[in-house]
Amino acid sequence: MSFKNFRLRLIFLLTLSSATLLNAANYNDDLLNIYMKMAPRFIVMSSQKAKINVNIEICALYEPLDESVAKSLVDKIHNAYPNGLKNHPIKFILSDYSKPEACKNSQLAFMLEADDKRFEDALLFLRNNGVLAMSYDISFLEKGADVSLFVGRNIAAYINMESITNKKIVFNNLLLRVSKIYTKAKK
Amino acid sequence: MISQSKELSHKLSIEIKVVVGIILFTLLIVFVERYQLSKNVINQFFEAKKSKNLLLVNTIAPVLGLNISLGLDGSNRDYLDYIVKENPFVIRIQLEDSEGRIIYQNVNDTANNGHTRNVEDENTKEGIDFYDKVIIDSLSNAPVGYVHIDFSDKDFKALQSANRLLTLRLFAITFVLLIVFVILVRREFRHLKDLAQGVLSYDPKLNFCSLTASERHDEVGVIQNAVVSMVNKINAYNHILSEANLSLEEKIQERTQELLEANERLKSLSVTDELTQLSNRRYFSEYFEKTWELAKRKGVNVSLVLCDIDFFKMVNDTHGHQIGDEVLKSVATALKESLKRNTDFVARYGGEEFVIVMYDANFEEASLVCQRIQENLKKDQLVTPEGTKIEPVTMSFGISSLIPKNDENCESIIKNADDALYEAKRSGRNRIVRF
Repeated sequence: MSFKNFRLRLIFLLTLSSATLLNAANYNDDLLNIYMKMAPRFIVMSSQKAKINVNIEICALYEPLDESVAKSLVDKIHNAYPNGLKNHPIKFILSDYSKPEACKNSQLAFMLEADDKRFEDALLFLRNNGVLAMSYDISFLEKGADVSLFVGRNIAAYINMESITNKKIVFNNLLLRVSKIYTKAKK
Repeated sequence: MISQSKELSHKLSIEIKVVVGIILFTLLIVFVERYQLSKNVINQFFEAKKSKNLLLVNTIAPVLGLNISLGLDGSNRDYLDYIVKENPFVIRIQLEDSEGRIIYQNVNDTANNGHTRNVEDENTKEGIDFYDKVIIDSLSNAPVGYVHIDFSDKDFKALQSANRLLTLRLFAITFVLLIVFVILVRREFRHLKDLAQGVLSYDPKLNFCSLTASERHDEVGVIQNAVVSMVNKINAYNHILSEANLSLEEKIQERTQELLEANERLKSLSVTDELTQLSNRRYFSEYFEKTWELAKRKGVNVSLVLCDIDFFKMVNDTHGHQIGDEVLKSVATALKESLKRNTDFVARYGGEEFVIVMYDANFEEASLVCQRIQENLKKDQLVTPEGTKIEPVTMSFGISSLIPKNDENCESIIKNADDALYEAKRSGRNRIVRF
């Protein structure tokens, strides 16, 4: 086990335990970095690429409590892609769960923690507008999120095939190869 | 060198040349074929192996690249573990990040088995047993890492081993087939040798040949039948020649006999006076010389008598030369009849002159012979064709008798006899004068 891997696992365990104790959302910085790395690529390596006009547009939905986390995502994504990706600058939009309309023209929405009702409303909006929904919490896959990360022995990307099929989003084969397919039975 | 090779080539039998030639040719063909086939098989194997290696690398590299790009390093580890597990010919995979730090390494101990990377060139990126590849991010085209894979060469070694085994088997089979071939060739050549022995045993003098007509239909049979046919023809011609020779020999013998007889006649003619059938003067000289030498060696008397017909010219003039010749013949007969000993010799000395040589006879004995001649001459009665009787002729004799000395030659006794004859003529003819 590498040092980095060990560190990630340790942080994750601490995060889970602290979140339970404080009854509040707690985010792993490394995981967020990975999400920010993944997000533009999931757009470029899917049929969402067709929706790119000039910018790769990513929207982050957050609860007011997580606003600082959401803002930190801007730095993370620009650190990961300072020059954009494939000659497309990355436009990052921050929006409260109460205003999912802000994500209407985005190709992907990164969904931080939220209560079930607001999450589902936002999800419905995204589904209706064909926006790819990437959730921080893997349990949201069950509610209809399209992509999330599972942290186990390793970190693995999960794709909810049912939801992306409904949205008529098609992923690149290579992306499908490196990801795992989420099914309810699996969960 | 060339002449030595030619000489050696001429010394070697066709059998050896054929066998050696076929063996060398076969081995060459087998060797070339095996070499070519092995080369092709190994080349194809190389290409297939490289293609297989390349396929694997090209399959995993994008996955690795994407995982690195997505920050899913753990997925790469699982993925590469899976690759090593599912591909037993992969003995080592090493993954490095873009800065050359090793982020993953897996060595398949079961496949490794002492494998060492066979890198011929520092810059070489691929080989039959390894592949090094830069992992490129498919979106940014930036290098995000390096993957080094070592492949097992067990299958290559197995191929080489199988190839060697096949080559050995092939050469063994070829060797066995060549032995069979040599045996068959030697067997066939034995028929040729037997044929040669049969031809050598042929004796044209005895008309003997051990060969008989062959029932074989191959080349040996054809040659044997041809030889037998040729021998039969030779025998037939020999028979004809023998008969011709026999006839020729008879003719030769006949001709030889005729030649001998002709020679005898010639010889006789050369030493005989044709008219009187007495020895001629040439033969007298030869005979007298021998007699003289013999008497000299033995120390005995030799008497020489020269005699001449008296008035022979007058006979010729009176009765003609034909009668003269008859007189000469008659005198010759009388002379021959008067000599009683085998050693006494008479020859015509010239014209009407005769010579008598008497070995081991003294004057008295010679004188008695002369007297006997005179008596015999008186008995001769010649008649001319006209019927005229001719008076018997008389002869004058000059005798010289002596025992030859070493320093004497035969000319002296002849001269003495001639002097005595002259004296007999001068003193009245028909008389015997001793020198």
